[in-house]
Amino acid sequence: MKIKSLLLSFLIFLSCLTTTVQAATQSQAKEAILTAHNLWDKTKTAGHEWNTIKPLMAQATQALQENDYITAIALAKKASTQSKLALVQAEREKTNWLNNLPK
Amino acid sequence: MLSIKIPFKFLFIIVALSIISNIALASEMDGKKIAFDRKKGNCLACHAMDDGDMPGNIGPPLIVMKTRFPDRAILKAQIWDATIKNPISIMPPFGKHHILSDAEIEKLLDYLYTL
Amino acid sequence: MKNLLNILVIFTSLGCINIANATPEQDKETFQRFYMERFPDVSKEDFGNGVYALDQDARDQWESMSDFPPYEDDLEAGEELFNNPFKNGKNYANCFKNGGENIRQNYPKFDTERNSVITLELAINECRMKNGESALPYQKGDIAKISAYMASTSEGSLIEIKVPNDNALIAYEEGKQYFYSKRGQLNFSCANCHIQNVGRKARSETLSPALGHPTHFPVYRMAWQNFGTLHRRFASCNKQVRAQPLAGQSEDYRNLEYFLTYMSNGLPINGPASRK
Repeated sequence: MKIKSLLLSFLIFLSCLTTTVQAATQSQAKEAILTAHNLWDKTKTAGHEWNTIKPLMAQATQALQENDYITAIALAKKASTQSKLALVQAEREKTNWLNNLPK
Repeated sequence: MLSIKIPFKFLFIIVALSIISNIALASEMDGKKIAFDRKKGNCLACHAMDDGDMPGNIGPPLIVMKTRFPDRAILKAQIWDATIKNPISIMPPFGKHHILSDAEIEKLLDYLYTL
Repeated sequence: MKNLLNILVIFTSLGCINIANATPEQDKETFQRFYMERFPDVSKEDFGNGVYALDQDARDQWESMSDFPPYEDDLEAGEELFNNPFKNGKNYANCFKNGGENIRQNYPKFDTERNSVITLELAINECRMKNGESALPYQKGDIAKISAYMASTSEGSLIEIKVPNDNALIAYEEGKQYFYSKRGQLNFSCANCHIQNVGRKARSETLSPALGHPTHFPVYRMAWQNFGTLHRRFASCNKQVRAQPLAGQSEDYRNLEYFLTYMSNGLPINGPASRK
């Protein structure tokens, strides 16, 4: 009996968790994708686009269309992180490339 | 009948120990998988290691790691971002560029220290 | 006096900075010397054979295959395409100096009127469009076959790329910076593999010298089972380091080809060639 009640409370806890997570709205997902898109464009302008970003953006957009906002936000954030790193790389290579010259 | 008499504490320790050793073993095995996977560490592209087939020779062989890297933090830093020590290092910055997650790098380190 | 000394100091330090801004000719000397010192037994022109200049086993296999080159049919098709007249009765020979024969060694060229690097493949397509034909897709297919035939008429001619003015120098410098910059999630520059680790192995693949890269394109890769242009190879390299490849004939690729080909000035054309 004790175990049953424990299990029940755990399930209730889980369902609470999913409802809070589901509070991620369509507009939040759209915003995350827009932010990611802008950063992605910046990497293209900088000439340092990674080929890992495009598939993340496609998957994020797909998830948004399927109303899976949690996944969409997670993927968009991942894409944004990678774009930021690509921009750091672009900035660093503005001077670091000279270290590559044959001596 | 006899088994009932085995103290619970003893059983508990046995089970706990077996779980811990399994986790350690699993971590090493995961670490090897990460090291050998072409889409993950792909260490064999550049380093000879373990029983890896046809390794590259761009980097040094990964042997006696405990002696070469007594400080785990130093080895982790090298895997995380090798360009800190050498700005033109060919070694991908696995941590910095999110090629591997922190957890994956920890597993990789567990494995490397068995070499 | 003190001022004079200061000026002197400034000028000498400027001179030091200028090492980074070496002339193309100085760059080429340093570049070629690097490979010749690293591989003293390899002759300069043999660098045009890529990994086969460095790896005897691979060379033996390659040479046994060269008795019947895998690209023979495509090369013949390229000759036919080259000679086939356009709908208006003209053909490729009308667009190029010397009827398009023995000119590969002069490409890419810097067009001083358009301030742009013109590669052979770009010139082929511009010839088509000038004559009312549609542009061919870059990287592979007919354009690579035509380019392969044109390269074959230049066999043995020495590469002679020129940097005619300051705008050309800008394009050259951009190509140079591209070559030496790390890119992609894996953070590789072209130089990481093809200069610093040339001759070493990534798994079982020998890393080829960048000296001689442009002498033998288009290349028939066994992995492709057809001809690919130099820009197709650039795109493959980009993907391998997880950088987004650029479109064939994009400005960055043309400038990269310009720099890379200048570095091989003086080497004989030996394209098309086959590779693994």
